[in-house]
Amino acid sequence: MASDSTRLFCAHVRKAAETPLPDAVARAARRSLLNVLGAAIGAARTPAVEAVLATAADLGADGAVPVPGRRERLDPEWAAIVTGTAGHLDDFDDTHLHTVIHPGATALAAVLALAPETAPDGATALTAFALGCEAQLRIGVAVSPSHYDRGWHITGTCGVFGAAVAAGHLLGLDAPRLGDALGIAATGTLGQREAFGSMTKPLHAGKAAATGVFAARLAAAGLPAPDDPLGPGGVLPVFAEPRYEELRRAWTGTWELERNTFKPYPCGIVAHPVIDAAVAASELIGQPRSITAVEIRCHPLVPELMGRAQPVDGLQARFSARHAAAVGLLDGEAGLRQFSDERAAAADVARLRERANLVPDAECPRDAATLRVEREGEDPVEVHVEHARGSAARPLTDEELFRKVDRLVEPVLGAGAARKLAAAVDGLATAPGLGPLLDAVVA
Amino acid sequence: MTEEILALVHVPVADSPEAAIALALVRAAAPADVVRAALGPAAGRSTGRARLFGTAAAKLHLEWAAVVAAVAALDGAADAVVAGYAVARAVAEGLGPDHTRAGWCLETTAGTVAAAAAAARVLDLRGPALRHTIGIAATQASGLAAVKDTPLAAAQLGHAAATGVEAALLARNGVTAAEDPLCGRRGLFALMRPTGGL
Repeated sequence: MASDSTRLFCAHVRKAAETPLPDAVARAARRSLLNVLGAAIGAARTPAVEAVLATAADLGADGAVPVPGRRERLDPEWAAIVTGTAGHLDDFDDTHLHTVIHPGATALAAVLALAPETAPDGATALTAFALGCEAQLRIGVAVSPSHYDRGWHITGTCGVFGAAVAAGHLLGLDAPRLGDALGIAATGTLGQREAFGSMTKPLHAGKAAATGVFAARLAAAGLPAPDDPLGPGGVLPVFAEPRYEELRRAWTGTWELERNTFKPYPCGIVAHPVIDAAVAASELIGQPRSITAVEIRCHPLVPELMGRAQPVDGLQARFSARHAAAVGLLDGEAGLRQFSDERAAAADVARLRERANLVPDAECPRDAATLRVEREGEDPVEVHVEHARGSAARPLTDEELFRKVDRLVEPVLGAGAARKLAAAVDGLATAPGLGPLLDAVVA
Repeated sequence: MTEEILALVHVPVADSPEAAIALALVRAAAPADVVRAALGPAAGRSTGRARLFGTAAAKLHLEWAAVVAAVAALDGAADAVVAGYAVARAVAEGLGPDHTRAGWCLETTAGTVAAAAAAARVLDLRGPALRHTIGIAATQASGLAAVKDTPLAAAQLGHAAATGVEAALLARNGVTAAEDPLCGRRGLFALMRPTGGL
């Protein structure tokens, strides 16, 4: 039985923390940070974010921490909850395909929450963000695929550890205290997949951030945790079949963060090849009303995660591959408008969803799909997508990523705001403080 | 089973001197200093008080201490504690006899949901707000049997109480959750009730 998983994991974290980020890691961190900031700002005025902010107001949780896309300043706990929720709300944040973790929202929320009180320079903040993402992903790799398959929302369950690591870096925890923080965080893991399609799904990322930050605070205040919380006596074997060797592996070579991907569409990532196929098919189909049936051959995870047949609102539509195919065919695109409450309830979309059928195929790769559209009085149209846009094989370019962020930020902060945000993220590693970045994210 | 558990929240209950005594004991007990230090100014709000009362209750070895702490934090009365106990017992039954042997701490897993139920009774949440309170809490049910008899045991009890109170406040403001968070295919019982060999 392994018994040193946590000690080695923390030693690797601290070693990475004390070394400048490798160039490729720093680039991946900047891209993830820009993407999730855009997602958080874009969701700043949604009903879910308003509801969480109203709760913070009820509790009198005002403070010094800025909230992306808003004028309010909150205390660290509620700033973390709001920012993490907003970052994950539209399902437009970063995705690590192997684990299906969205690490950016939780790591961002933890770093911003502690920014005013710890006043880090830019490099320290970027490192904290990168470490927070990487810790989630490495623990996620160790518990995949069994953990997610059992029904856990891995963004929440692993998020608490990433937030604890990010916060621990900003609070200056040494390796033993970091181990305590991880042990405390292990008692507050959260996230069940039953919540998908409700406001609670994005709340998982926010609560993971707040829980991880508080765990780091408790460790800093002197609360000890039992030895080796990431080992056989900890939480991992309770909710997964862990491979501890993944935690003991040194942080050399490629980081998992470098494998993070960015979504071109605001919905569950497994449906993205379906959307690519539907958008391509829309260009070949003159009149969508002639469509009599849509067969979607896809990876089995598509019906598992995106199986809603007739979603009633935009949040549910994000978990409906039939909806994704329908709007792709009807609108020729799949942006935020296509996943709005209005489009979710539209009669033409509902009609086409009704005619769509998911055909899971174990031989179909996760980033591939085939769409066959039957039409009355015309030949069927078939489109095969080998690799979805935004997948590891077809990552968004820096320019595509910027355009995505611009579309998210502009309606909230105005024209030119995304350029200012991107410049602040680009210059973060050499910035003496977070002033330019924080100025760029708030309303 | 979800509907039966939701129905327990607002049923009329008989006076319970035991629940009243538990509330008084928790209100009078000293919370953990380390948790108070980490909370800072947040110690004064209802969620912070729930966390502190939860750590204090841990020393008293009360059954379903998270319920008592949540009600105390909201200045609620003994009837909410009694309703919370009923929810806790029902959720515990749903989690099955092997839940603790699998590694979970029943006092904090079922306790989180029951604390939320008790908070919903104090705040008079009904209908969708009550259902979402239970959903927001259920997805956060956590805590480990392995930390029993360590300093972390009190902190995780406080976390359960605070999460329960917070779930009710979030739901009151319109945060939505799963339609069937307890019995759904990827909900509380499906994930935390062991079915195979341990």
